[in-house]
Formats: sequence, structure tokens, C-alpha cells
Amino acid sequence: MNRRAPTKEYRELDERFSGTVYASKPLILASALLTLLYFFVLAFWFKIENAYLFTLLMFGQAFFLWQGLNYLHTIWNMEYRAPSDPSFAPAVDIFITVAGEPIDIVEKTVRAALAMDYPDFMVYILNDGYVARKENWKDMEELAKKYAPRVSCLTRTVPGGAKAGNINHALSKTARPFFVIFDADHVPSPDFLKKTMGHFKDPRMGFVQTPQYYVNYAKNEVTRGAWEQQEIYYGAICKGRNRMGTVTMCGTNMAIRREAIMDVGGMCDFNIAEDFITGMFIHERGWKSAYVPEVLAEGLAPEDFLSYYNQQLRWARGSLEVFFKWNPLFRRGLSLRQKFLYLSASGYYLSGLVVIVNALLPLIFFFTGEVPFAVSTMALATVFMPYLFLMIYTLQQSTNYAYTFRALAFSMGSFIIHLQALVDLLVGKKSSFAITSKTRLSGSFLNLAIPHLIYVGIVAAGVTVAYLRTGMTPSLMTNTAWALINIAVFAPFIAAAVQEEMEEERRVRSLSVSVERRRANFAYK
Amino acid sequence: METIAYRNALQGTTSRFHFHHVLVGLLMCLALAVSLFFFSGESLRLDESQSLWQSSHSVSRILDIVGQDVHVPLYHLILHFWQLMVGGGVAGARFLSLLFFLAGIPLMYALGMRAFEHRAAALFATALFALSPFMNWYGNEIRMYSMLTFLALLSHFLFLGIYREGGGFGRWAGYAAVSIVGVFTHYFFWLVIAAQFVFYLAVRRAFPAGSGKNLAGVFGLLALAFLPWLLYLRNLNQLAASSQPLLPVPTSIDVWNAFSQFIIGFQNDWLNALVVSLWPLVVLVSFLTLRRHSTVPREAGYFLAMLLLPALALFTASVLLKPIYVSRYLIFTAPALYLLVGWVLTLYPRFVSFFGKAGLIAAMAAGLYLQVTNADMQMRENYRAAAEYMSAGTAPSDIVILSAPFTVYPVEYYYKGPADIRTLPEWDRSLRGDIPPFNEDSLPEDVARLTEGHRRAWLLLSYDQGYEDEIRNYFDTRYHMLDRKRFSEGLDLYVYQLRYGEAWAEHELTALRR
Repeated sequence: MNRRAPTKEYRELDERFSGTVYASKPLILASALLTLLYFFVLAFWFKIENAYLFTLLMFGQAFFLWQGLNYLHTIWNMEYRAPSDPSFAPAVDIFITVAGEPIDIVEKTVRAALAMDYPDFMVYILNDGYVARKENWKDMEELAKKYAPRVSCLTRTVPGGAKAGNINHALSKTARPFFVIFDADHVPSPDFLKKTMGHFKDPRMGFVQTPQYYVNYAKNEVTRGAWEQQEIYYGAICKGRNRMGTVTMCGTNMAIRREAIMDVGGMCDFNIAEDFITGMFIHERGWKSAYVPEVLAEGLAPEDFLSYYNQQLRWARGSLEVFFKWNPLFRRGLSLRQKFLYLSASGYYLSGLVVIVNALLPLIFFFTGEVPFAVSTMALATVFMPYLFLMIYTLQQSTNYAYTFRALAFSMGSFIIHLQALVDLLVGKKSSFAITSKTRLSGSFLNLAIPHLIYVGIVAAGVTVAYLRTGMTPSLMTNTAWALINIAVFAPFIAAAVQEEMEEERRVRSLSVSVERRRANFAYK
Repeated sequence: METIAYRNALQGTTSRFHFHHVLVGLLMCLALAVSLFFFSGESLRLDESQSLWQSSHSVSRILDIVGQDVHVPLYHLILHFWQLMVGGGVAGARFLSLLFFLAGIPLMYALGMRAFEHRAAALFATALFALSPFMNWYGNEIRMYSMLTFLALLSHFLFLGIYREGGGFGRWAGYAAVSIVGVFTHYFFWLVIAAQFVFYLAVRRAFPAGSGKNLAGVFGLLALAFLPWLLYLRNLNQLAASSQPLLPVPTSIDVWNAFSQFIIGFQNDWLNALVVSLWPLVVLVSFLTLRRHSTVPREAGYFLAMLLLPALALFTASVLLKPIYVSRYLIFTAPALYLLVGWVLTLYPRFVSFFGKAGLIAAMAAGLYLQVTNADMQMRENYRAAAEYMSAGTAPSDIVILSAPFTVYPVEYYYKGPADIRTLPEWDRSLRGDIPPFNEDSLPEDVARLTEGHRRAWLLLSYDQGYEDEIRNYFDTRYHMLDRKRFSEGLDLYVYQLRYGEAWAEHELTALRR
């Protein structure tokens, strides 16, 4: 196969995505049982000390129960593959969405798209550089001319709808029955269309999604963290959702039936997670979806902390909007299973609340001495540890041992992003679509980790206060240990921000010039 | 699968002798030094004195006595012949246990290498084993626990050898022999075999062909070998003995205490509670194991089963049937914990791994230091000091009353005084059967019988069996207390004046003043 150099990394990746990954069913059952047992022991067995704290704690535990059981249900069978007919090869439009990305990155994607092994397709550069006021918007038209006639550039002049608006604009200018979307930096492999289009032999197949792989994942802490978070999603979760006909649309590296998208009125342009909600609408209309668990395109992870922050904020805001404004439970057309899967996916970003609650409980003890339970801490350990260990092992087995501490830390450390998204949503702050930068942005990002650093400071003060109040007690030790866990989990997030800060200082020193601190502003309407 | 030779080549070491072997030797020397300098001066404890007393009889009598006890006889028989060779002193008897402990150190390293093929993991686990205050304690106690641990290690070594490399006749025969020796060393060696069987059931397809039949053969042989002992016990009508200390029903705290004792040894309640309260850090330990490609080898599953299943079995039996949950009964699971910790730390980034190892070694070393220096340590039973005190203070007209009755063993070993020693409830060890139960209604009658004709009673209370307060209250409310003294945690002496009318002898007054 010539689509990728056969490096060790690629082999591992292929194995992880394409190989048979399975989690033993007895293990899943045992894990589910212990998850339930842990929750009910906590809820009904232990004596409540402070009802408010107990309620807060149980809110968090209910969230974990919900997400945990949903995950176990998802990974029950990850081997399902939707039927595909390789001989089915309809005409396809290839959309490469661009909004000011560097020309070399776009050209690489265009060339790879042209190199796809498929009989009938046309490549379109969906150029939003003009409406996004990017200096290089004309370069895209030149690029299209360079590769004409198989490449055409569709430049929008009337803004609106961000990426979704760009795609809808392209849909109005093209006519092939199927189209494929690639972000500007997502380089497709030659067999992308061959591996995906066969699924559309089924006339009810609405869209086919493939993984979003970050080729630059090893570049720095941010790219690693971003990729390792993605890996569990595009591995275990997408494979499991494939079985249940609820593949989430991810906005790139996907093929869509034009009829399906027109059935829902085009790409949804009133939510910044346009892909997620469009996928849900397509499912509502009874269209099917499929997931091809092979890396068929290579993209770029956010290389700097601010880009990562913005990407997460966009995803969180979009998903939470779905949760609160288009709650899947009340959507007609979705099956019950689809409702719960979409609810779980959109509600994932409520985890910010849960993280902050869990982080606050030790602090409340330090300063007030109040605890949720009047129970021996060892009794809690006895029910908590087996549940935790089994869940971690199940997680590792189901992801083919790909999940990492860094991924966990980035997920939990992003609590402040999730909270910001929630608050913005609740106060009705207007959201803007911010494209994830394809190049490294410079600037100071330590401020993004200030809440985490403040937490460390409060813990230090709290431990001191509690020690002065009660002396060295087992309760103080236990709560200190919980606080230390939070700090340790926040550490990679802080470290990534600090690393950015230090690298920036080095750059400034080496240039010996005053560098104007620039902030990314890819926002466009 | 990478071979050991390949791994060795990767690690740049193909020679048979390695610096790690020197370190293992140094760990053995360290354990020996700790024994000589710290543990050799310990007073004989109750269990030790029982071992000495039981093994001091003829072989047939040993079988008879041990049969009435809660143990199997092999260790006592070995101790019997050992004492014939080296003499009947405490130091010689303890040295037997020390030998098993010292022999376990290189075996631990070999087991770690066989299981994980990782020198650093094996060496670190061996260091934990050698430095462990818990292991050092029982490696210097005249009981079967260090022998039990050694046999468990040997059994793991052979069993994992069969699993990984297949078993020829020699390996299977060795495994069978160790199993038989093991079940005659301690009843709970059956839990080792049970955990191995569970492991076999879980991964039986990974075992070499024919392993199932061979394993069945070993179990059959084991049953045949053990059957005579069961029949012997049946003849003794002693399948459920009750001459041992009464144990409380365990709680979750006891479960965790066992694991904490494996790491920091026996500490006072305050320190132990503080350390155990840090349990949420285990959550962090588990989070940190989340590393790319860090698969869980089956050997880790084996040791996890070996660590948890026996504890679970003992806990369940203790709650449902009869309390038998004591950390020392689980000593054979401690190496599994050390090996698991050693393996887990290899998964961490180098920096985290280094600090994890350093922290754990420091905790163990501190635990060992505190354990050997803390006079109030809960496991320390200073019967020697108590007996010497009574030897110097008692007169022929006095009576020494011991409760619980079985504490007569260590007191008797050291006591050289003129007064008689009796127990409450009264117990005649020469008679077959259980220790008579305490009866509060007959307490006045029992005390009257014991104290009749004596001027003073030296009441030594330890190993509370649930009636210590009743006895003490009875004496407190009827007699004048002359003296009280604590020799170690839970070992208290009370001296009572039973009757007046006679002048104090000068030496009696001197002794009391002292």
C-alpha cells in the first residue's frame, strides 16, 4: 500500500483502528455491576453528614454513572461493520473547506484529493478567505487554476453560517449525488473514496464518517494531549456507535449523500457544532450512518495551547447547545437508543461541573470541616477501588491500551473550558465559529491555566487552615490526598501552558526584538 | 513474544552475572544485619512461645498438640529437629525463620525476572521484600510464616515456569512437592493453590497442552497426601479447634490495614490511620498507569489474583463463618503486592517512576525503623520484662494469675519466681481439649479457689478475649491494688493485696517500691 509510509506509528495506528479490538463481555458486565453497586452504596448505604455536600457529590457520581454505563453499553460490541459494495462508485464532489489556511497546507490536501483512486470526482476548494477577511483568499483561486480543470474554487462573497454556510454555498453550486468534506489540513489517502463510497449502495445510507487523525500528534504536549483524547473517541466510541446506527458526524473526512443533507435543509448553520447537530438531524429523518475505522485522512492537531483551548470551547459550546436547546430526548424521529446516545454525547461537556464539584469538596473540608458522609474512609475505599480499577482496565482493554493519563488530564483539566462554554450558553453570549489554527500561534498562554494554579494555591492554604484547626487527622490526610489527585491531574494541563510560555520567552530572547504578542483571530461570520 | 535472551540483549546484559545479583546479595546482608541488630533482642511473643513449647515434645506428641491447635504440623516438626541440631534457645529457633526469609530474597528476584522479564521491576520488588518491616518481623519470629512465604514464592516460580515455558516432569514434580509441603506448612497454602487454579481457568488456553491433566494430577496427589491428616484430626475430634485467641469480625479497616502493614509494617494506631487515610493516592497510581501500549501482562493478573483472592476468601469466611482474618495469615500474598508495585512503576515515565520508587523505599525504611524502635508498637509483647518483674517481686505466698490462659506459654518461658502460676479461666494444658470458656457467674468461685491461702495476686492481663474487663473489675472492687504496670501495648500487670495481718517482708517492699 502506498498511501502511507509503513512506519511503526502507522502500523500501530492501523492496528488500533482497523484491527479487532474487543473488550471481554464478562469484564464489561462486571464493570457495569460494580459501577451500579458503587453508586447505590454511596447513595443509600452511607450515613449522610452534610446534605448539601452529599447532593453535590451525588450529582457528580450520577454523571459518572450515566457516562460510565453509556460507555460500557457502547463498547459491548465494536466489531460491527456496515455492509459495503466496493463496486458501487457514484460521482462525488470533494469539498475542501478553507478560511485563510496557509496555501502550502491547502495545496497538499488538494494534491492528495486529486490522487484519490476513484473514477468520477471533482475537487472544490470552498474558499471562505474573502468573507473571513484573510489576505490569502486570492491565492486559493490561483491554486484552483493551477490544477484546473479537475479543481475549482468556490469563493463566497456573502458571509453567514461559517463553515456550514460555506458548505451550503458549495451545495448550491454543485450537483453530484454525493460529496465528501475535508478540512483544509486533512490530507486524504488514495483509497478514501473506495473505502467509503461502497456503503452508499444502501439507498438509506446518509453519511459515512472516518477517523480524524492528527499526523503531527507527537510534536508537543498540546498535540499529544489533543490526539490522545481523540483516539478513544475514534476508536472504541465510534466503533460502538457504528453498531447502533448512531455515528456522530465530525465535520471532516466524511462522505455524505446530497439527498440526505438536502432532506434536513443543508448543513445546520445556527450551531457552532454544525457537524454534530446536522448528523443528528439526518438520523432524525431516518437516514443511516456508517463508520469506517481506518485512518483515511491525516490532519493537524492544534499545535498551541490557545488553538486547543478554542477548539475545545467550540466543541463544548456546540454540544451543550444541543443538550439544552435541541435536547435529543425530545427529538422526534430518533430511536430511543439514538436519543440516549446523542444525549450522552452532548452532555459529556457537563463534566466541567463535575470536575469542579469534586475539586471543591476537599476545599470545603479544609475550610469548614464539612464532609458529605459520616463513614469510615476505608469503607468508601472498599467500594470505590474495585469499581475504579475495573473501569480503568475495561477502558484500557476497549481502547487497545491507547488511553493515557495525559488524555485523562487534558479532559479533566479542560473543565474550565467546559464551564466557560456552559456559562456563555446560559447567559446567552453569542458564539462565533473559530477555526482551529493549522499553524503554531505564538503568545502567552499561561493565563489559560490560571484557575488551575489558583486551585493549587487554595489547596495549600486550605491544608494549612485545616491542620491548624484539627491537627493531623485521617480526614485531613484523605482530603489532602484527593486534592493532590486533582492537582496531579491538572498538572499536564498546566505544564502544557507553561511550556508554551517558556518556549515563547525563548523565542523572544533569541530574536532580541520586541515581539508583538499576537492572538489568533480566525473568527468569521 | 520476546525471549528473555532478547530482552537481556536489549538491556545490554547477556552475561550470567550482573550487578543486580550483587544488589540482591546486599539486600540479604541488610536483612541479616537488621535481624542481628534489632530483632534478636525482642522478647518472646505468645505465638513464638507456643511454637517452642509445642515443638519441644516428641514427634507423636507434636502431631497431637498441633492437631488440637489451628495449624498443620510440618513447621513444628522441622523446628523440633532443628532444635535438636542447634539447641533449644530462642535465637536458634528464630534463625530457622530467618533462613527462609533470606532464601526468599533471591527467589523473589528470580520470580520477578520470570514473571516480567524486567530487571528493574524484579530488583525493586526484591528490595521491597527485603526491606519490608512486615517481612522482617515474621522473618524473625518462631512461626511458620517465613517458611510459608518462601514456599509460596517457590510455588509461584514453578507455576509461572510451567505457564510460560511448559513443564517437564521435573517442574511438575517440583510443583507437586512444593504444594504438598506448603499445605502441611499452613492451611492457607490451599489459597495459593486455589488462586493458581482460578488463574489456570481464566487463561487455560495460554497454558501448554496437557497442563490441565497434569494440574489435575497434582491436585489428586495433594488430596491423597492431605487426607491422612484430615483423618487424624477426625480421630482427635479436632476439626475445629478453639485454643487460639479469639479474633474479632473484620471490617473494611482490617482489610486495608493488612495491605498497609505489608508496606509500612506495624505502627501505632495514629500513624497507621494516617497512612491508610492516604488511600486516594492509589487512584492516582492507577491513573498514572494509563500509558500508551501499557498492556497488562497475564502475570500481573496472576499476582493480582494472588493478592486479592486470599484476602477476599478470608474476609468472607470471617464474616460468614468464623473470624480468621489476620494480616499474618495473608503474608504469602505480600510478595504479589511487591511484584505488582514493581511492575506498575515500570509503566511510569522515568521521572515519576524514580520518585515513586524512592518514596516507597523511604516509607518502608522509615516504617522498619519505627517498628524496631517504637516500644509501644502494638505487636511487641514484652513478656520477658513482665516475667522478670514478677520473678523479682513475687514471694512463695503469692499467686501469679494469667489471663488469657494461653499467655502462660511466654510467661512460663521467662518466669523464674517462687510463686505459682495459674490461669483464669483455669486451664490444664496436659489435658486434651479446648481452653475452658470464661463464665462470669462462676468468677467469684474461680477467683476464691485460685487465691485461697495466698497473700497477693499478680494479675497479668493480655490478649483480651472479651472478659478482661470483668476480671479486672472483680479484683478492683474486692481487693486493694498495690501496683500496676504496663510492659507493652495490651500487656498489663496489676498487683492486689488479698489479705492483711502479716508483716511485709523487706524484700517484698523493695520489690514493690521498685
